[in-house]
Amino acid sequence: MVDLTKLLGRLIEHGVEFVVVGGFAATAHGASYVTYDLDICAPCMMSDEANLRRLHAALADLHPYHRMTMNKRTFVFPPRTIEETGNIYLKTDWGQLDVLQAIELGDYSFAREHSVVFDLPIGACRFLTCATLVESKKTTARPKDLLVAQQLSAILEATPPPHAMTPITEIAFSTYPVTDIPRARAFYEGVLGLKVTMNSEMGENGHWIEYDIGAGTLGIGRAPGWKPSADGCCVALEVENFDAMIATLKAASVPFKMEPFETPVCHMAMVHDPDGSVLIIHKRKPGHH
Amino acid sequence: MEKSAAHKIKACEPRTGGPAWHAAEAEGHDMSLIVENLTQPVWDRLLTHQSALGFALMLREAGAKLRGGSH
Repeated sequence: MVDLTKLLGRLIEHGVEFVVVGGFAATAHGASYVTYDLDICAPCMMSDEANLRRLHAALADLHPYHRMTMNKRTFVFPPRTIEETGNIYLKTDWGQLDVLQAIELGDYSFAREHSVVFDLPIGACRFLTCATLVESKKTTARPKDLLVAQQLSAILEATPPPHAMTPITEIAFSTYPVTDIPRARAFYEGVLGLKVTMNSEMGENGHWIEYDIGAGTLGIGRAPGWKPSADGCCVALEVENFDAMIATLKAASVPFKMEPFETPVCHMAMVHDPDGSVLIIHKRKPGHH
Repeated sequence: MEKSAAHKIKACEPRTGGPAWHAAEAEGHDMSLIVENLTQPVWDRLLTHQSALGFALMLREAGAKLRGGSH
């Protein structure tokens, strides 16, 4: 009886090194097509003796044979000829198993690098990622592969990437790149009055300073390749006395990107730090959080 | 390798309606089957496939017998 899940379980149980590719991988990612064989990418050249041995042990009692050969030669270990290694097309009691030494986009190392591990009740198993499957099917470009690629593209779009399954719990800190630490400190500490809570010099690699403000942390730092920009993300600093802070900034000749203005819920202004990065000076109105 | 997916992959609610989704729908794919698959864990998708494969092979065998009988 053909049972590809049992066949997969055998490979896992015997520790065969492989990545599931092809239609069965598409099924795992959610495609609705029925596939009649199990395709795996695995190191099974003459030199991959240990893996070939494990593959043979996994299939030995399932009457495996090389289905593409004229006389349906039995799958044995060690292989009789080099033709019985590399790409191995087998038929077993539980279905067809195609062992490929490479996929369209690369060799086994590539497939492994572009795989995802699914923890199944029969054990952990590597499957080619959905994105790589799409590329692989598009590269093959047979009509049936393009149909599967259409489904997989829709699945890729409709399913969140794995990292989205881990909720982000808080903003750890906000930070600005600066080019001149003493000049930046004169502004952040001298003008804004922030207190240093961490100061880490890293020599050539840079410099990092943190200021804890309420429940948050503002960092400034210098590092190779990290450059300030007036158009990047900006931090809004909540102040106790908005007018007093504006007066302080004006007295220090800090350039304003946006002069103080009022919204229904707050007062705010936008200023530049010495590197041109933008900070928002902010004061919530009573009753607004 | 997507290491973070090494945990048990749970079923998810697919975010349907994007351009690739509409393109597949327009090509005639039954997207309700895809939604059904995506709301199942990976292992259940493989078992569902196994049932479908069993049914397809049974039909194939029945068809072969029918053709064999007509000769």
